[in-house]
Amino acid sequence: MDEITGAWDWLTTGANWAGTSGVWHRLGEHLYLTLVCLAISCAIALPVALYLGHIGKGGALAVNISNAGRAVPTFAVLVVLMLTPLGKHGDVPTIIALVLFAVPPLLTNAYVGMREADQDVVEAARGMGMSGWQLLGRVELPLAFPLIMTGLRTAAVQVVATTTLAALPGGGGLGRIITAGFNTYNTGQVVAGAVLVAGLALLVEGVLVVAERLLSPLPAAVRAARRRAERERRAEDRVAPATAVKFAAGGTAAIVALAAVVIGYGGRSLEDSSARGGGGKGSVVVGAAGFTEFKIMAELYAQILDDAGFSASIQPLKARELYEPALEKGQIDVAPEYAATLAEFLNAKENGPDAPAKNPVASDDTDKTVAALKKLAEPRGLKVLSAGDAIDQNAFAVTKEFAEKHDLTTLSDLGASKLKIKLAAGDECSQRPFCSPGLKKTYGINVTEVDPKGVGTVQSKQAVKDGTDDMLLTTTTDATLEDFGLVLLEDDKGLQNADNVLPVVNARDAGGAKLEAVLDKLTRVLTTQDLADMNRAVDADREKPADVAKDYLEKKGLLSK
Amino acid sequence: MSAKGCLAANEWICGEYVRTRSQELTDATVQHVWITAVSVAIGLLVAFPLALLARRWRAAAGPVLGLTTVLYTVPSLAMFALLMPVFGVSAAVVVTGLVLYSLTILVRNILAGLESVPADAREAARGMGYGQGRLLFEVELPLALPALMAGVRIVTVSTISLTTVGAIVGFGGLGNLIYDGMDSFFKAQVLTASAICVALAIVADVLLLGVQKLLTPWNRARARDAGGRTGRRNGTRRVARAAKAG
Repeated sequence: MDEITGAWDWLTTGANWAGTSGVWHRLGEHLYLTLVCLAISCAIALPVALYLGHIGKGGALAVNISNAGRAVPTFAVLVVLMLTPLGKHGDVPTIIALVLFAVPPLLTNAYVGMREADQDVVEAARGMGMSGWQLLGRVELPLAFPLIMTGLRTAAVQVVATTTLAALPGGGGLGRIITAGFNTYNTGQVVAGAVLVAGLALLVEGVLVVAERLLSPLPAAVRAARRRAERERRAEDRVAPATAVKFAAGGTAAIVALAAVVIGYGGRSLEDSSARGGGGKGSVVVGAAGFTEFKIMAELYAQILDDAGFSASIQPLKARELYEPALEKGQIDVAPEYAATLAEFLNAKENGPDAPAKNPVASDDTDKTVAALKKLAEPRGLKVLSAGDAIDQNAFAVTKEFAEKHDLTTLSDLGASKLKIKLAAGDECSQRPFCSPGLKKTYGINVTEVDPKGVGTVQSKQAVKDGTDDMLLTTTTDATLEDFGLVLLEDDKGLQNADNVLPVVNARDAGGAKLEAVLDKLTRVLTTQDLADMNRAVDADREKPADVAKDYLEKKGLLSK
Repeated sequence: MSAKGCLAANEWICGEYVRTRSQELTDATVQHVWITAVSVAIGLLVAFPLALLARRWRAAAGPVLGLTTVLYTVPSLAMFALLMPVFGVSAAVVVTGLVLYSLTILVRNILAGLESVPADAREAARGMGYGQGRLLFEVELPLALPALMAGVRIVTVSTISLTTVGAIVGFGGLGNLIYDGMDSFFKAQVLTASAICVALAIVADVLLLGVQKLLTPWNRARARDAGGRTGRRNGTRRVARAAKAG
């Protein structure tokens, strides 16, 4: 249960509550988004629903809007809006997506509440000579009030929960705590984030329950009478205990059986793909992480292995924290890696999270770095194959104008300028020694915030181009910097180490000589420029990684078929 | 302007995209459909005994409904992220999360449906000597079907929408394409995948509505008969019940 203790630790660490990434700030963002969304949704939904309810038309429409609203996937709407020019105005896409999400339940509940009003009472009121407005205000609204409030409570709770999705494209709110924990494989943080959101949702529900009681136009006696009537109506439904137990038992058995199947299937989907035995022909799973270059490398490995007679498949995984353990366990067999980065990752795993900063094993010397890597990898059952010339180092880029304005060519210049920098990178940047900790320590650069738009993604580049962020983390093989008017700042103090691309394999399942020979063929040929060109084909020309890899292998004569 | 132009130009609508990625789109749609179908099916299997439990023991009703409601407040992002250490990187993460979300609506709807069975129908059946099991399956469930189907429709559509978030563990069906497209600013991919997702939801809803009408032929007759005098009232009551159950 160390997810729970992890969450407790995270929540009780004061530092996690302060600052722009701290709980208070995120809570504020979350509440802001929720309240603005609810206000706009009520302004749209309630007048329409009350009017339709009053005149008694449009019932089918009201219910169907509710269903149609559910059909709109909020995540999709959010991403679509983010990619439009609206995406520049941070919160606008989120608010629009949430309003689309909240209007249907509000509208339907309010409409139904109005229609539920006892028609006899309404007719009596009309008979008494009430005008339309008086009818609405003094009869229909008070009677509809409970259902309207139910709709509001439902919408409010769902909006609080759904606002977390804003974090996925890098927006604000408590969801950012969850995504940060997820990307750094810190489950305690994920639990903490979930607890905070759930707590907020329940708090909002509680506040609205109290508000309903305080604002209800119906006197307490009437409400109590209604509740009693409801209870009496339900009193007659009983099922005999024996039958209930039988069904419960049968149902539980069915659930357990199905769960076993699903878990078994799910688990096996990774196990099956691990190789059946050593270096000979068998099935090989190549791991691939999220960004373009990794996908291309994985395709290159998989295709060249497949061509040599191994049955290769690709397993996409999100981050090193996920695929490195999978590699050790044999769930994946081969992964493209970067010598220095993996070496420090294993260093941290072995000697604690401070080791890369205090006792780094990587340097800008390729041979020494690879040797250090082998020393760390072999005891873990990983075999490191030869490194080639292709290097993909982390690099930092700013806009041309920014560089000219502040007279910057190197990262040292940036540190000397004492400028405050908003950095677009991945969530894990604050933990990677080559990223914000390294910038601070080696260059004295003041990174005020890490905007998790991804490493070298088009989003990050767009954000720096637009001025939302000042600098982005990308790679030396990034081919589209010019298109965005960006320039690299030179790493003059050698913060970035020898990140030569090399294959790392699971020694037991894929440690054979034949597999090594096949991959070596590729490693010897691949250059940094090749990587840059292939990246460009995918990111700029929108070709598929598989096609780009195939073209390259054919061009270099590495495929026998 | 060559067709490749719309891909490189990153246009929203691009025929070239659909042509070159038709396999990926199909695979994603298939994954999306089976994740939804399995989740709703398991959800029903879990919700049914829970609803019966809540109905038999009033004391259980509170905790059961309370638990399912609390589950609903756990944001999908967190739910999938938390299930990942349990199930590893597999579809089980997404399916389990979706099942847990479906419980809130399904349990409530099954309960509401069973409660809406007219007392005279039940008494008549008992008078005819029906045992508990027969009563449940041959009288109560068929009459509760409209509320149940309303719940299934709502849950199916919500599940189709929520499945997209499963992309964070790589099992989000069309959500995978949306997530990748988000990272690489790929407008055509995001819009196409989103449009298919919405279309799936609409088709599912209409299909299930058809199934509901097929399974309850007596409702059609009743609506016709009652159409004259109190038609508008009854219609509104049905709408009200359906909406309340949702």
